[in-house]
Amino acid sequence: MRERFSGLYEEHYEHVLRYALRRTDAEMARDVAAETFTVAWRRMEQLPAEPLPWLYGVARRVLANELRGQHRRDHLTSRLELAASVAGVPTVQRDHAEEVTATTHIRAAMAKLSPRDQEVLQLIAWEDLDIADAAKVLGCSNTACKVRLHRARRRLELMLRVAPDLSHDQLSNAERPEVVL
Amino acid sequence: MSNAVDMTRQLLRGSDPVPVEMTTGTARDPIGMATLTRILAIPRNQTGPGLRPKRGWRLAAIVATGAAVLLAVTFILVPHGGGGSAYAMTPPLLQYQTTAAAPTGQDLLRQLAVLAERQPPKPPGRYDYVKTRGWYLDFRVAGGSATGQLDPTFRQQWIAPDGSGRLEETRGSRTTLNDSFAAGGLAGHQEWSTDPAALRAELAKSHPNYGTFEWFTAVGDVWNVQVVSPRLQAGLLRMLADERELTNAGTVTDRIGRTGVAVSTESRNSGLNTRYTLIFDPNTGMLLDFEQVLLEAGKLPVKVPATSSYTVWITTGHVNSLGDLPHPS
Repeated sequence: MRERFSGLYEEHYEHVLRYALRRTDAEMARDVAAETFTVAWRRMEQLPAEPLPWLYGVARRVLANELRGQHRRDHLTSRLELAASVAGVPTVQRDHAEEVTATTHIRAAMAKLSPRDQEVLQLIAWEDLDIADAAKVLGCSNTACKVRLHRARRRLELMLRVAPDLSHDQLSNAERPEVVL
Repeated sequence: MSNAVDMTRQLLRGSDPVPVEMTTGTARDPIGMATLTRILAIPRNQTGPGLRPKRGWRLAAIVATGAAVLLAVTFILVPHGGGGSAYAMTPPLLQYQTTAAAPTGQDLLRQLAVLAERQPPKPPGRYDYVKTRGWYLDFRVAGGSATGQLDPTFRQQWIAPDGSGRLEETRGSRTTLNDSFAAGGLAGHQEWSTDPAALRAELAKSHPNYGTFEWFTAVGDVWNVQVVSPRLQAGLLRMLADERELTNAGTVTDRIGRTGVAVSTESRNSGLNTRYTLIFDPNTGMLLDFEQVLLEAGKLPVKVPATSSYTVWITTGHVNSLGDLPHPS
């Protein structure tokens, strides 16, 4: 069992760490990865044949708890801002030499979407998951995930078309996504 | 690949803030290796949150870097099956007796909740003591033979409110864990809500919503690390009673000879259809056992239905000193 787990750890640790790094700072990301694999160790019998979506699902919960804890400690961020940090862009922005204006524009547009929208877009584009695996992470049906992705992408496209400073609040009610924590 | 997925990736191309090379090798760097070492030192049948959500993970991991990574696992040979097939031996299945007049699983749980909340609380003490016996499917297949272990694991733990405590674990004649933990090293007793809906919300923070079996696991997780009060147990039972995908599995004699009543649910979440069963004391509503049975084998060398894991809660109670045992109730 230890060897099996070590193999799992070796194969997926970097993916889980990268998932966390995309959403929080480096120190917390290491904690999130460690906690995620601790859960996996205790529940090896329940791990599906393809464990990465399952690991992402656990990491998502762990990260949310960590950020809630930080929120309680810091008393700095509003509930909505907290949600954005759970599912949204990293709190630590990183610069890369290849980063271009277009990328910055995409990130700025992403940051104006709801946490729910950001989450599904990021799972597909950054974690490279397909619909079925993203649905597993999100705990919803494939159909619900597909609908969620479609709507999120539509809103992102809208954000990319409109003026860069258009805020989320300026969306019509019909376009306004539901915020669920 | 669906069009929607392709279009999304195209739209977000180049926006990933963490390129692959940023984490390359992290599983084997000092922090990654120390983290692995520390995880492997955790008893596996402690399925719940056994270490506090911790900002100190990294520090502790770095301290542990010098420790040896113990990967060796002792296996014993188990017999070949017939016809050249090799099967891993698994513990016998429990035998459940059902009657036509039995209540539904939901009604049974609500009745048990009433019994549970009538129980007196256990005498107080500094440490939460939990003793369990467990077995977890673990085998290898090589050269046509399946090898594995049938010896159950016995675990005792004493955990104080500050997270200090002691864990002892044996398997067969081997001591697999015998460690003390300083304050903050373990997560034990938590003040859970006793209201079923609030309790569900609290447990949902650490249990992905994958179905009823996940709530079975959550109940076991709570029991694994603390003494569960009668009121909390009533809350857990009522929370489970709100699940639709469970049935009354009947009465049963558990692995240490106790009579219990059981509820079951099935899930394919692990990739193989699995039956999850919780067994309760019919007189007090307290948890006795958590059993998992594979209903299909896939490529596993087991004859189904096959026990894939079980946990037997032998003793729980409060004590005042490490090494003390609770008085028999």
